[in-house]
Amino acid sequence: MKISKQLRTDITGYLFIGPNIIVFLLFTIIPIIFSFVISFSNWDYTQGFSNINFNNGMNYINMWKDEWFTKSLINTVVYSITLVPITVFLALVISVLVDKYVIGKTPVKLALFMPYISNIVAISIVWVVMYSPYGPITQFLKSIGIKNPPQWVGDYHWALPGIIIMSIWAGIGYAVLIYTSSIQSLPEELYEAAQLDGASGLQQFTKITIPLLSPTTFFLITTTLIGSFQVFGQIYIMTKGGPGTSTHVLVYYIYTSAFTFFKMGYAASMSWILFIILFVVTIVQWKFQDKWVNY
Amino acid sequence: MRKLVKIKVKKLNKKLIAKIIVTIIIWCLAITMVIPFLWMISASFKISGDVLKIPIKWIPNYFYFDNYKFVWNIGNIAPRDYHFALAYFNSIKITSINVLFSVMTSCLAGYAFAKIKFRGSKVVFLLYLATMMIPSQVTLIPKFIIFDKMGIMGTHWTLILPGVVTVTGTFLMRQFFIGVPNDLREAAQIDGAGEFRTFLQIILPLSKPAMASLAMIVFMWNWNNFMDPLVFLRDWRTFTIPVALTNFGDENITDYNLVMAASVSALLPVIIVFLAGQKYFIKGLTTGGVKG
Amino acid sequence: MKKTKLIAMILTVAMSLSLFAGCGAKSQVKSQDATKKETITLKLWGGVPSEYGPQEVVDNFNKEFKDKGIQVEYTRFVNDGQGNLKLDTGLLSGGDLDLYMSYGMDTLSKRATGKMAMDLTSFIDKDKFDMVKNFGDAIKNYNINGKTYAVPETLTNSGILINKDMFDAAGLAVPTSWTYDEFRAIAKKLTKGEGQDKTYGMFFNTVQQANYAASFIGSSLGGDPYYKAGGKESNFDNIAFEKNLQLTSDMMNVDKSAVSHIDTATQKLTIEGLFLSGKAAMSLGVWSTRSIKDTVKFPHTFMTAYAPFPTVDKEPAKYTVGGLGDLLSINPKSKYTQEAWDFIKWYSEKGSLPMAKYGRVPASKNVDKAAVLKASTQGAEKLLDSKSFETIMVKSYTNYGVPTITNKSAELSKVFNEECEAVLTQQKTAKQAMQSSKKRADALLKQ
Repeated sequence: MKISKQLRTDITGYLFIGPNIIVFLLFTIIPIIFSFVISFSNWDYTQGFSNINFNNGMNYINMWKDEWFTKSLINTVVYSITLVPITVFLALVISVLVDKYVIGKTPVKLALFMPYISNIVAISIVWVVMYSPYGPITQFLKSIGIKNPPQWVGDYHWALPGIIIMSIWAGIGYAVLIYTSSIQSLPEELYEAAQLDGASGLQQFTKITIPLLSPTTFFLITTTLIGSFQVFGQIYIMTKGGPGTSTHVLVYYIYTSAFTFFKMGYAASMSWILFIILFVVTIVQWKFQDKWVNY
Repeated sequence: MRKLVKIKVKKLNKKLIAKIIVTIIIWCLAITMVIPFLWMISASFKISGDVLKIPIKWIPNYFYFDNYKFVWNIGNIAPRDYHFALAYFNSIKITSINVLFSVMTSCLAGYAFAKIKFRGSKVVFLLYLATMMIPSQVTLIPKFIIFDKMGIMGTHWTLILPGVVTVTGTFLMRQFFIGVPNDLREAAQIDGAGEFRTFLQIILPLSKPAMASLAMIVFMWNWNNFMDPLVFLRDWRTFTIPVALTNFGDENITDYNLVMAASVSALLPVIIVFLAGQKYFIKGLTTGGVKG
Repeated sequence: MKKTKLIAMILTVAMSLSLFAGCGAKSQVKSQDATKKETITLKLWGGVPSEYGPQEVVDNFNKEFKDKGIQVEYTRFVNDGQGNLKLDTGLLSGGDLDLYMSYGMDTLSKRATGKMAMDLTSFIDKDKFDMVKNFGDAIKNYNINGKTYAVPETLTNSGILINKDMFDAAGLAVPTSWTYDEFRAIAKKLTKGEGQDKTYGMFFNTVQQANYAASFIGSSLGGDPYYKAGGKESNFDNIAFEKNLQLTSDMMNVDKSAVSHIDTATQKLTIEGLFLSGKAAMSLGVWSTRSIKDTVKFPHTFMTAYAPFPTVDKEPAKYTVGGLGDLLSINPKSKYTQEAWDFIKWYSEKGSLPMAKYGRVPASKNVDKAAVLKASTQGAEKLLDSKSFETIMVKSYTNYGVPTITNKSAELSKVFNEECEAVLTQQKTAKQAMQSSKKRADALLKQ
């Protein structure tokens, strides 16, 4: 009996991915399908399985009338739109500076990266204390002459900015790291040629560095955006969505719906909206990258 | 000739000055990044009343170790045992198991996707890619129900079973293996070695740096994982560090010095592991991220 | 290469061992249970830290019931969202939770309708456990759909904590009835100083809930303040809400006689930090008896007295805010429901007395009130005003406002809390907030 080479290859291939794909199917694919199905119901978990009432996608319609949902969406979008450009741009600038000018690169990179590897619970707690009226941040602001520094997490208008600042601090290390390793692989000759032509540092930056780094920038914008839409830990620990609904974000509302109100079906439908948004945004980015990304 | 040298020296000096200025600015920035950690350590050694005293004393006059004793239940200071040691053990146990197995499964699958031309490999891999975009909250509730029906709710299996496979890790390893030249593999196959032997004896030794990097990243993810233990664990005997820390914080939220001591204790392992293996860490995070 | 291989092997072996160790321990316990057969350990979950009474209760029970083969183990959960979530998931998914406490009718209702609390009617009838005799007529209001799902273990009377020394110094008597205006005036009178040296008249303790002060409303609207009769429409247009919110906001932001909500929330201020340190003359939160008695952690020498909630006007309060609490239920999935019921009986009849030491007044009429008072003030004779403590905390009343409607109560609470927060942080007026609350709540109730 001759087993064709292709079949043998197939079997080998599937054996290799075997354990991986089994767990993947069981704990990723099946939950995803399940979630999709119950998103069309208004299932309350405490009532048991027998009480799944399918409401034909009413969740997807009702959520737009739900103030908590719309506010969460707005907050999340505001959060992302602020966080992503600032993080990526700052990281780019810092990485270039670090690469070209700084003595003692490694300790600097380590310092920038420390927040990223830390436990979100621990750093959220630290920041809550730091933001408190007698904490270091407020004291610092007072010492440089600001008479009435904001109340940060206690203030309607400053809670979200406060979280954004903290998140930038926590996430910038990753972007810096990605950029610096990309920068290291940039061809020296281009810069030397530019210098001979008399280009200034700034010109080199805008005409050479930025275009060459565009694939990396694209990657970072995409991943940072996806991550920022999923923000949860900081909100849960620092503000619990407050004051009022000023820091109420999408994932926090999904969590509240599922585990405080026990509205599993509704929570599932919201998480699918989140997916659709991210998917659309990523596709759009992908299409647009031809315009500005150079490979 | 002399003029050229003069210009060159002038340019060099300019560059040096620029270097120094930027270095100082960036170093200040780096220190600002680390300030919260410094504050945390400093506060963890103070007594409750001194934590928020103005002006801020970065280096306290005394080192009040009792906070740590409280957290770790050494001596009779704490009203009850917060079982941090147990939480540490739980975190180490779960993280080690997950790291070990997920590196293995990611390597096997990543290699297969990269090199073995089996039918359906592209489609399956695209499926993996697609799920990377799905936020973890989508699967949280169904997993909750699946675990409940499996009867493992509240046990460590809820964290281990899904944790032995990582989609991102598989993706990373695939990117890495794509970069491995095919000649080695072809040579081994000409010599008659089967796929698995080729993998084990030739390819795997080459991928040690990538594996080490993956291990470090998976370590970090697992150690810091907050949502899953929060929802799936309920007995204090099973808690991992993030959950134990949250509980500790809930009960002692007013004693910042204690909370800081607990936080420092929670952060220490990751920072140590990171400093020890940062070379691999950095490599792992940047592989596959650049080419897009 | 050899070294890493060795390390990898050791790690694998270690991991496998730890895995098996975990499994092994479990199976060991199981077989132990099988051979010993008799001793059953019930798992009891409650919100009070074990060192404030529960451990003593459990120890007493274990001593007494050792021969009967029943033991109890107490686990504390923090009575907030996260803690209750843990309890709920435990009830939904397993049978290793036998007894637990609910701290509010809305939580109990949710659990009862969600099949997470056992219907105790059969046990009650079998043992002729007379609920009315044991707990008074009020107990009838605590049934859900006519059935009993929990046995109450505490009287949850409420009131305002008074720093008696400060009142004496200002020549003020401990109030036995007062209006909002009188309350506000007293707070103003007792506010002194500025900045870090300031003492406030009142601390509303809003750290967990901005609308904590709304508990005053219970004395005029009863147990279902959020709802109009029938539960299909919200009651937020009732003037009592607006007046209450206005009072709190004015005291915080106009008179500045109460600690502002922003300060409380950002600094996570507590009763222990404010009231017990003498920085506030009055406070909300009568559950803090255990902290008052802990002079090691919270040293103070002043005497704490108790006053009822102020009323909107001179009309006497229709209802007493409070009722029966610490609702003890059995998990229907428990394997030992009979033994669990035995515990409940024991606890209701005599076992709960140690809780009184830390301020939790037993609900059962079988427990002697004098003994309760004595236990409560024991060791703190100079710190607790016995007379007012008895009137406000120990005495059981007949006009409790009992919650009976729990329709979407979690959502309504959230709405009301958010609107309160907006008023206290001066984003809205009380009138606007209550109009908005009504609109939002009615929309939710229509769903």
